[in-house]
Amino acid sequence: MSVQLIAENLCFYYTDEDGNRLSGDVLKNISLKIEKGSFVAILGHNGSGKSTLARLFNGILVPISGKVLVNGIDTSDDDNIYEVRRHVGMVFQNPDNQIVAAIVEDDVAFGPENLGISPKEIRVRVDNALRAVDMYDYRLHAPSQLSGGQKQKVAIAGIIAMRPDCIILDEPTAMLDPKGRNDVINTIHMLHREYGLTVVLITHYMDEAAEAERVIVMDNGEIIMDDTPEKVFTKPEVLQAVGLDVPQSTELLWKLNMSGIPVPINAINEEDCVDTVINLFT
Amino acid sequence: MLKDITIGQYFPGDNLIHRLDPRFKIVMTLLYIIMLFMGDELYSLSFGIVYCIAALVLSKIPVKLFGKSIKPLLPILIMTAILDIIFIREGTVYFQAGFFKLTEDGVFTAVKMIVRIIFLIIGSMLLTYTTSPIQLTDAIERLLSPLKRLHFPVHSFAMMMTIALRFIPTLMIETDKIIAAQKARGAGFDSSKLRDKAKALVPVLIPLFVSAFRRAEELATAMECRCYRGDIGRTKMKSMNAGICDIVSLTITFIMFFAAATVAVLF
Ligand SMILES: Nc1ncnc2c1ncn2[C@@H]1O[C@H](COP(=O)(O)OP(=O)(O)OP(=O)(O)O)[C@@H](O)[C@H]1O
Ligand SMILES: [Mg+2]
Repeated sequence: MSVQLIAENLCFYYTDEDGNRLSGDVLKNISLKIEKGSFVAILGHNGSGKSTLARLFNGILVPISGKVLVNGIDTSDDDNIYEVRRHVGMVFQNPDNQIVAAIVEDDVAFGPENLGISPKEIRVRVDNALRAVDMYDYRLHAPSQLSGGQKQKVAIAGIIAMRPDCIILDEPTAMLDPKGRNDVINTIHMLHREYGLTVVLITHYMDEAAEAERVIVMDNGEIIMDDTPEKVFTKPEVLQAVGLDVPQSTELLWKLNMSGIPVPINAINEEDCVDTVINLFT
Repeated sequence: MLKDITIGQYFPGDNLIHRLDPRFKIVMTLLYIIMLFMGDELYSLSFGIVYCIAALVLSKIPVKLFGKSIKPLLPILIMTAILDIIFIREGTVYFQAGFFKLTEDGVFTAVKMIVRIIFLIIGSMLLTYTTSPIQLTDAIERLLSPLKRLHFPVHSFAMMMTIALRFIPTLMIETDKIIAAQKARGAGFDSSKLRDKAKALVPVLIPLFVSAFRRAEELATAMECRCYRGDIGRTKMKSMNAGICDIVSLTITFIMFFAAATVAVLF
């Protein structure tokens, strides 16, 4: 498997135009590799540097020291910046503030238009992208007529129409109702499965992280855990120490343990949890 | 309430008016507007009216929609009419009471004014109802492109309009929400005093501006992430190709225009 994203001894703090420091160290010597086609969730409490890391991965920010490589391309090289952004799409929290055009299909076309693709090819990409997120029937709607989840899917379509091989989503479900959340998460998983897209999902929802292939936990600009969800979520002590929850099913098993019923803490989703509890009685 | 305003809205459709090249549509609308305001007599005005009604029928946009857009403007229309009637004192006098004189010219001017404004609104609405905002701004960009030589930022201007059209409904909805929130805290929007009304507006406008700036910043980042860099190397999904239909429609418009002009000069 080839490597999609690399951070090498990455350090970052915010500065103003004159180079004066605006913040403390936001990222402290981070080294990280994300494989092509993987599904990675990033957790961490507010201000731990998740969004900053995401912005470094597509060249919106450049490292103070250290390196960020996207498909082997250095993001701090200005000449390559559009190449980097073409490969790594970003989806943000507020769907309203990333939709540019007043008609769904025109918005999805925005990215490909910026890439200078031929009109015919743009049409094909836009239609395919809208079908992929199941929003084709809404192509002539105005964004203001859509629900939050639908808007977020349009934003995702706008990214995949650029045919990136990696998509970074910064809390894409934070402003959505449960139905919209489900819809968006399912869409993300489908894109990962069907198109082999590398997915980096920043989230505050443990249940969403539990479905990833790999979970990275950040605290205060550092990576404190980086493992499979099974391993990460079965260490509730560590998570709670940095102000994070565990998925509800893990929490249940953990509480059973605390109250003197020994069960293995190995379930991170509902099904496994049910199995474990049933095993208690058989 | 604010949500009901349909300015800049687009109603997708597939008929002659929808399919016309947006550049031609803009030029035709401009000619039509001049047509409405040419000449003093009703003869020349009637050309504009006939032209507008024909376009309206072809577009298949329900007339009700226009009613909804004109309704909020009724008070202004009525004010204009009243002023015309009061201050125009020439012509046959129908009725007189003290200073007030109802004259033929006054009534006539008032009616003409109302008809003109209503048809002006209908005509421009028809343009935005039948042209998607992107097509509209692309067309303006193309029509203004000669100004590029004078270093006028034509592309940025068109992009600004695109974004404005996109965010009008969003900001309208937001304004409604803020008003509701301020009302819940006891802000007095219902006072009839102008002073109180103006005061009540401050706590609405400030959060609205703050939020608009935040949106602007986030949108700018999102646009950068989508490889936006002005019009450098940019293509368009919907290319504009003028066809026979466009040329014929424009020719008809020109003929109407000159007919109206001739009538306006002769009578
Ligand atoms: N534009 C900025 N200027 C100065 N400091 C900033 C800026 N943006 C973020 N910071 C600081 O950087 C730190 C990390 O912020 P970041 O947005 O990356 O956190 P996060 O993990 O995404 O948090 P959240 O969960 O709230 O989204 C915070 O302490 C924040 O105050
Ligand atoms: Mg963040």
